[in-house]
Amino acid sequence: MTLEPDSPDALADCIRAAPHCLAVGAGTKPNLAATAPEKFRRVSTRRLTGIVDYEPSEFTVTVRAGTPVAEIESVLAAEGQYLPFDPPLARAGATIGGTVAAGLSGSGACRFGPIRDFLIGVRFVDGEGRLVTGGGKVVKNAAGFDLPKFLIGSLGRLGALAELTFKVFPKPEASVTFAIQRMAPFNAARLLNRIGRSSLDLDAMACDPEGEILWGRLAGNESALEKRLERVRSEIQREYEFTVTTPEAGARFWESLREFTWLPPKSPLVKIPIPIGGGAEIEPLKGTRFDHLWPHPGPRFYDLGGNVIWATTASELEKFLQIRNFTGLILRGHGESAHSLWFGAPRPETAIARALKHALDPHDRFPPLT
Amino acid sequence: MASFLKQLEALFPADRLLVDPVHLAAYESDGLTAYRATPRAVAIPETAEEVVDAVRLCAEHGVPFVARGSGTSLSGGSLPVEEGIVIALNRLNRILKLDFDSHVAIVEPGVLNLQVTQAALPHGLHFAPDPSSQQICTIGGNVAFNSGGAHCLRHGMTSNHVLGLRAVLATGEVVQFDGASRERIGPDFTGLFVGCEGLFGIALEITLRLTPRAECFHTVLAGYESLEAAGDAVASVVASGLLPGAMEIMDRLAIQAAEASVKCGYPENAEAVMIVELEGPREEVAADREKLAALVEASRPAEVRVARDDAERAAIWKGRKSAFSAVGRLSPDFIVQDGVVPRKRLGEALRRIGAMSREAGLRVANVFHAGDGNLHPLILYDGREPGALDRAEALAGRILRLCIEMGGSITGEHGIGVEKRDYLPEQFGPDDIDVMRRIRLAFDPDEIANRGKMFPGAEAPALSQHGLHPLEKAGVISRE
Repeated sequence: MTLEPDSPDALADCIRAAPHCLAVGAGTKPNLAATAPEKFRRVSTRRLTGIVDYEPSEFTVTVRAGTPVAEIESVLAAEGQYLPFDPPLARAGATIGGTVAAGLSGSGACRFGPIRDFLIGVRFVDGEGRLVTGGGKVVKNAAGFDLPKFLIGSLGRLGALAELTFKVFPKPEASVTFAIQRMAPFNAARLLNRIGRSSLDLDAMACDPEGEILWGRLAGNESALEKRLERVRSEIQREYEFTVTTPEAGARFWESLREFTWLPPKSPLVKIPIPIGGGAEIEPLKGTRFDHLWPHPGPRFYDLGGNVIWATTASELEKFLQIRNFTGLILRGHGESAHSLWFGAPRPETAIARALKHALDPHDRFPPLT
Repeated sequence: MASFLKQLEALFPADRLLVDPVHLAAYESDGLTAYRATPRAVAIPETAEEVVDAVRLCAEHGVPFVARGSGTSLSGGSLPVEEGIVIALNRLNRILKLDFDSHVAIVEPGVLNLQVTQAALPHGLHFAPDPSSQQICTIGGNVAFNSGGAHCLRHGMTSNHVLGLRAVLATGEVVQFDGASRERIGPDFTGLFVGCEGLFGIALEITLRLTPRAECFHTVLAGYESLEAAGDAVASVVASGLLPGAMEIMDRLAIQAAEASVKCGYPENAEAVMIVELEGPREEVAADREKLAALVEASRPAEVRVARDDAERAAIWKGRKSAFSAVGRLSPDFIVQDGVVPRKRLGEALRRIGAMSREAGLRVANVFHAGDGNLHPLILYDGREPGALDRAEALAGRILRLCIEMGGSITGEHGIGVEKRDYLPEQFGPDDIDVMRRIRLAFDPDEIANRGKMFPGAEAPALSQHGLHPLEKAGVISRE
């Protein structure tokens, strides 16, 4: 039977009672739990939900870990605010706790930064079963170690998240999406760099290397969008086709990217962080006489302004990543489990990583991070 | 200790290892001038390898070390430990890599904050964190204390702009955390390291994110007949959906001092001024400025000034940035505090600080980052008067407790250091602090890195009386 605590204290009780356990959310990133051995009892955050505190005037919101992202977004939207990092898989039911534990951000992170730039406070249960607070509930705070940041991407292996406080921003009045077609990946990567360095202030940028399309989004005052769009157009060389999408088509595209519906259902899914200019480094060879050196990497998308690749677990891609020393995180495998969290180059084992795991989880109550 | 010093001498030539009390005196104190302590020695490495060697020697002998940049900490973060050494990092001042394609700079810890922006500006990029001491403070210090500045609501603090780092930990282990991507997988070690107040080790190479500098700014100064009216004006801007780059308030005492000091042309007789700055692409700013003008108009200001060019913008900021040293000149000594309260309680916080000031018989000037609720009350006192420092510290403590009571924080950007360590247990519970201690011990089992900072209970260093930091007197640096 899965445990289903309905409050932070109940979560701590559950964890104290289970010598081996792992908190799980809605299961939208199934590999993150599936890789933990069965002896770790699953503690569901299904009932650990709700908005604890929302102060639109403070730009802060505090929520229980099991709250669906979609619910938080609709509460914020009613006050004209939003989470600017577009947490992925919201429509699929992702919880905010799972989003933090997995360390995931979506396309909007291009402008104001990924989830690490918005999580400001956390309550979590450590390996001793204690409810611990880190960070705070005000947008600016330098007191104590930055535990909120450390728990982003910790995959439930360092503690179980109970409550999270985010900085939120006013939602832009309007947005417009454009597509630049016939854009070879290498040129797309270079264009991403150039636009990213400019003061055009793009809200999102993503590239489909197979379809050779670069997608962009501007957001802000409605009255300024047309002129801003004109400036982006003037930055683009004439040989590329520049199309402004209808609002519906634009929204559909970003939604498909955010929900990963551009992939076949249940297909494997990996997140691979890359250096901002890394796209050019990874895809320079396609369509040239060096083409044979580039493996068949499978479907993939460059997102967050070229800071991340979303891909599948194609074996040729993995070999390539090993050679180039990139590591990915497997969010979904073929079937239940991919048997590993990591994809590509092995993650370095460090003494400090072991010591920190021991500091937060001295009895190995939570699964290992390896 | 004798054998330790002998081995240290083998690592550093005599001109880069200070042991003479005359030379050590320069390192006794930092921006928190009320505290001082004399270290055994000051080592001045020129390379990362020398830093690693010095730290490993300290680890081997259990000798405490304090890393120091320009010594501008306002919380006593670089105060030496008497039985330990100072590792001065100013000569590790190279910008190792500027990659304008990847929008990153890799720098050594002794590089000055403003140097990074100066190097990046020709390419349209800048390093966003801008503490008021940015002309002199180092990136290493910014990383250790997660420095802020006037633009944190929109742009975040130092930690939001550090992508990765290479560091020597207090155990002597050299680690590389993350790299040149804004994205990462696994726990955010870089995020944990930034703001560690020097308790984990020393950053050797820091990968910074460079961001495009806004194309257009629009800076407005409004004078009000009451502090409360200025606070309400800030609240109305926030509620409107605008996201300004900066929002600041100064009170009457601060305005008068700034006016006397730098003749910034602020409205005379105003009880408070608000500075709001919009930024972004020019079309965006053009649309926002109309909204802002309507909001400011509705807030019934006594006077409004809009900067028409860069020179007028600079003049508005000059008054703000010089405010603290200007107020400091009104009094032989002062304490600057750094609390945070929820923005909507700013008015209440200021009223209560005013009452506390009258009760204590000490003048308090207020200059603050209104956009993020970060208060900087400046408590004026005369250290020659018996008991005055104690009264000033007691008042500072009451203000910090007020911030905690209101659901805020005891530090927005200066850090805990030695100054606020006794208040840490008032903001955090025993379990929270125990977890932080365990993390500290994971990095530093012998507690040799910046011993005596952040955590309460350490032996208090000597308190003494001083006025302005020498660099502040010279007008080189100023306080947030």
